[in-house]
Amino acid sequence: MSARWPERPATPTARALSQTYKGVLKVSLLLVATYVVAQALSGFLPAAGYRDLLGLSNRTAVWIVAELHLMFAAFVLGVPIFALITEVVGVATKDRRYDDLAREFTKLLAMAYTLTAVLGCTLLVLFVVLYPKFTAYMHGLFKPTWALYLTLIFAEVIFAYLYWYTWDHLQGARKRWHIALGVMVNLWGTALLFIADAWVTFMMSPAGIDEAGNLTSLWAAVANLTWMPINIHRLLANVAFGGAIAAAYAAFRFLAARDDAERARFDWMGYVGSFIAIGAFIPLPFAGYWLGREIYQFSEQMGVSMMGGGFSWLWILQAMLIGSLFFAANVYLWLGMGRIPGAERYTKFQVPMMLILTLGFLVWATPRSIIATGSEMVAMGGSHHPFLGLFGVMAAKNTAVNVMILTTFFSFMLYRRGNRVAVVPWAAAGKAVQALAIAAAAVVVVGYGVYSYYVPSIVRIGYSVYQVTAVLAAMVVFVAIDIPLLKGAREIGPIAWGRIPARAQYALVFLAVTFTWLMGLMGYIRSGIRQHWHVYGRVADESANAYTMTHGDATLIVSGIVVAFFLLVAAVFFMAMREERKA
Amino acid sequence: MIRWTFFIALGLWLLVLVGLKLLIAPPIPASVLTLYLVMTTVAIVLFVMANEDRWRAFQAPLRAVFEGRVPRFVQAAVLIALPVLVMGAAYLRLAPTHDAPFEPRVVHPEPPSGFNLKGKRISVSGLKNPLRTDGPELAARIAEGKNIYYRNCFFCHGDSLAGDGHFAGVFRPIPANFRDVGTLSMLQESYVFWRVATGGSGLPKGATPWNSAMPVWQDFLSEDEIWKVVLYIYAGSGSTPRTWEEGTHAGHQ
Amino acid sequence: MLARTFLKIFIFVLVVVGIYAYVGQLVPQFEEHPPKTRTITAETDRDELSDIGQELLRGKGGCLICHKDSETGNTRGPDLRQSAATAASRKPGLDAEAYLLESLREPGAFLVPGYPNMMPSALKPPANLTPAEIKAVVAYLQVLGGAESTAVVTVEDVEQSKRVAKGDHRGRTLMDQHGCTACHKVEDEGGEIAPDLTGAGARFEPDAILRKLNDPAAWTTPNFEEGLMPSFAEAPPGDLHEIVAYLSGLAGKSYNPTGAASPWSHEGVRLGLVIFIANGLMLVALAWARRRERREAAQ
Repeated sequence: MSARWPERPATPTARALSQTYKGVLKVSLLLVATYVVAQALSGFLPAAGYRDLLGLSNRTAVWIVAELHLMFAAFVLGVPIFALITEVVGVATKDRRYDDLAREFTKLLAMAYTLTAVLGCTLLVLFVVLYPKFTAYMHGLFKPTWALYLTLIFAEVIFAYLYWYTWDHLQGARKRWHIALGVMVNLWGTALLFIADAWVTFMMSPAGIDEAGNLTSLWAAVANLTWMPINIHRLLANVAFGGAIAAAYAAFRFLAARDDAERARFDWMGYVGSFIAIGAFIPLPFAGYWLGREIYQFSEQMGVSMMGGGFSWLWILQAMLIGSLFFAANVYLWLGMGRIPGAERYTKFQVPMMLILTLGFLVWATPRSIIATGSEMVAMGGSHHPFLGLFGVMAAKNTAVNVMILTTFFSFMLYRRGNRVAVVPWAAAGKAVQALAIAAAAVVVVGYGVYSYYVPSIVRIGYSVYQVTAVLAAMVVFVAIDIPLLKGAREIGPIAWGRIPARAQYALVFLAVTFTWLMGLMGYIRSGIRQHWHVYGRVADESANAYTMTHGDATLIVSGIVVAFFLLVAAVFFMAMREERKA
Repeated sequence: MIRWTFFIALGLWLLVLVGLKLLIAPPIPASVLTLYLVMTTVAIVLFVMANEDRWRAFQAPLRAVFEGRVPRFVQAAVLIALPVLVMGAAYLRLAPTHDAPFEPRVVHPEPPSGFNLKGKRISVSGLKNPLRTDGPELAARIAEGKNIYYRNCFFCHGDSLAGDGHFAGVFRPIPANFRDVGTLSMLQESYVFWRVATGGSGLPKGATPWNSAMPVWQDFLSEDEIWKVVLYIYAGSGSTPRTWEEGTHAGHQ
Repeated sequence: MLARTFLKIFIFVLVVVGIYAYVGQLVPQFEEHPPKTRTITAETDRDELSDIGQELLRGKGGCLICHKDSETGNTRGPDLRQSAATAASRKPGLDAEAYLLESLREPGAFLVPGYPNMMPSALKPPANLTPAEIKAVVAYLQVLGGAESTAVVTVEDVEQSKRVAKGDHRGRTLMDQHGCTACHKVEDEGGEIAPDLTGAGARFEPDAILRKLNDPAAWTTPNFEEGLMPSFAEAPPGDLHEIVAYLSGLAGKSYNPTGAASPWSHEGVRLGLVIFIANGLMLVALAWARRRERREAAQ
């Protein structure tokens, strides 16, 4: 950075502060503009409960902008989390490469912040203009949180820009100050997320209001049933999403690289990004179960409508997406093993692993309500297939997904030890215990899976907890043994970073696209299960767009949003690269 | 072994196809078969692609054919067979059949939060079978339920409660099979009560197509009688009802 | 090179997204519409009218608490399946429709032999049906008896129904709850201590009424005692909006609680404050850094 403005005789601190102030000024102007536009429009337009946007339905307009805002917000909240972790790893291992990587991640942020803010402000104007009555109601309820939200936006912007602009200055002895800045960025970011979640979850599972819709307790409205599960779910998903997008950026840079050094650098970045994405993705289903449970707790009807009613078909789509994610992650790891000398020892495991993954995927994607013609139904003796019906229920799906998680974990562990040979005297015993841990978890998962067909569903729900615990325990045991096991291990050869086929990079892009689409789809389900309610069961949506659209139309809109998102992200990438070229 | 990757992959694919088609009885519906085959294809291709050696070995025979390094007749056979296969597939897709069109039906649509039973508002959530008790009177009630079942339900739902009564064959969708693990034991008794009381016309829009022939039993049976039948179909099919989770709806207020 | 890579990746993204969108078209497609709120107008056709009648009879009307309209049910009142068939011969001079209407409006006017006089008028609570709704119930009873329905809803019925329904306005109920009607009269009900509010909507803009509620000292109508009215600033704002909407509605004005009062009315001040503090803090920090820089340069 210091080489960039040699003509300005400012100290690094002053320079960082003035750059940050530019960001603050930008956000201030944006907010003032939003306020003025919203004020002017709501004063100028005739009073109405709902308005259309130039013929485009108010719902679609808000949906697109909200989802895009959410995706960018997820990115700018997720990236600092693992940028900070990477930075800390760099300090702990004294490996300069990690610090550079963390810097590379953070570089993507600066531009993304601006886009997030612009999208957020557009969304706010759309709310005020298209849903004036409901926005006013929500605003009235959550008044204090608005002021807090605004304050936090400034705190977040100030610390995020400082975090970026002081990177080169706060090195060495001053590194801990930089890490402190990183912690602050994440604190404010998480607080922002939690506040926004309060508004969203209140609409799903309202609390703290009386029969007439008047506020009785703001805290009860904020801490409603689905608030915490959504917070955790989104926090994890943001990290996974940020990792996937960073990996896609690395894939793009790899494919456009001019020399081997650059290729090696971005190959490594892609690997770390995908590792973060998959790592954060694995606990995500459990957070999802918790959320689902709370939804059922709040309203059985809403839960059934989500899982068994009209929306159940979208879960088949979700199953397909998640299965594809597992496939892509494993294929990427296996392709990556091609650049690790010695990893060919583990190629033989690929056949059974692929078999297990495929079987798991088949079970996972088997629909509960099978589409069948009349004659097929007669042949099956009902709308359920006597054999396939066994796979349609949650017991089978829990088992399948746990087995797939376990397999992917194993795949990753093999990758890790690709070029290393354990030399500790207890190596054989250690490996045996590891194998035993994996086998035991598999037995527990499958055992409970089969047994749960013989117990009432109230008991069965509890079994998924045992299955998850078994998988997590096996992972912990495996890693706990792995670290000392590979201490001082003999290296067969160095990893040839950069020597990976181009299709591995496409696998990374695929991961990013699939994550994004999945997020769009899940967001639609979360919002869609409110059906014709603004606030479920309390404030009805009386606009012409209160109906639940067909799944086909919804997936088309989600697809459009995803394409738009990637175009915007490409713009961010180009900006980041231009900065780099300038330097 | 790796030299034969292409042929192993092709053979495996055919094996899966034949296995799914022939080994599973009753036959898998076409929609699921397509799903399975697509996933199998993707899995095989991905597996081959995931290793540089396998990928090259997989491509070798294809390259040999299209780059002309095989005898002329092999080339000709492949170039003829490919379009014929595509044509065959297209024909099979478009050929008219006598079958009724797809019936995308949600088997267990969401119940309403409440419904009208003879002018009385019944709330479905948290509703329990009032006749399900632990005492000896339960057996008598089940026996009465059996009686009612045989006078009303048996004609369609069958002697064995498997949805195969005398009239079952003429209905689309066919009557529910209570012995299926996916029906009764997945549901609360309140759900079954709702479906019996309001019948096919009580189904919500989400259950399209809206063509169940189930009568509206609240017009013919009393509330107690419906609960007794519900008792019987659970007992008779050997299933246990799903129970409400403890603490459900505590947060609703 | 860069552009080509971008293009390749973008096409790949389009293909993947396209596949997902395509699969989305393969699952069953249906739209789910919110439940219709059915209102009776003079144009409502015969079939729909009797449908609505059935709903009312089973639901809001609560008729089945005593009567039955199917094989099973209560027998405290006469079997409704027979009512239309016997209606014409019940009372000389009244045809079936007229008799049914009368028996719903004034159940005591004629008692079916063997039944006590225990039915409340359908116009009054608990049934609380409007004149138009009573016509709908009659239409259903005729259809139930196997005849064509003859009941026709007139514009007059609908108007009358609207007037009846007005009593249901939440704003009116809230005025009772908050004690407004103890002093004020509105629509011929209420106290005499304070001005009649029936015409308030015509005399004042909604904003003005809201201001008066929040700050009673703002002005007082001449000839009335000052300082008597308590402030309602502490009352839930939703309730106040509802009351203003009701009073404005009496004057034929539609009041949308948000149209007039901007959703951000007080937020502007807060926003300005937050922006001011954030910018101020940054400027102070910058000034400090510059000063230190100058001091360092001087050394």
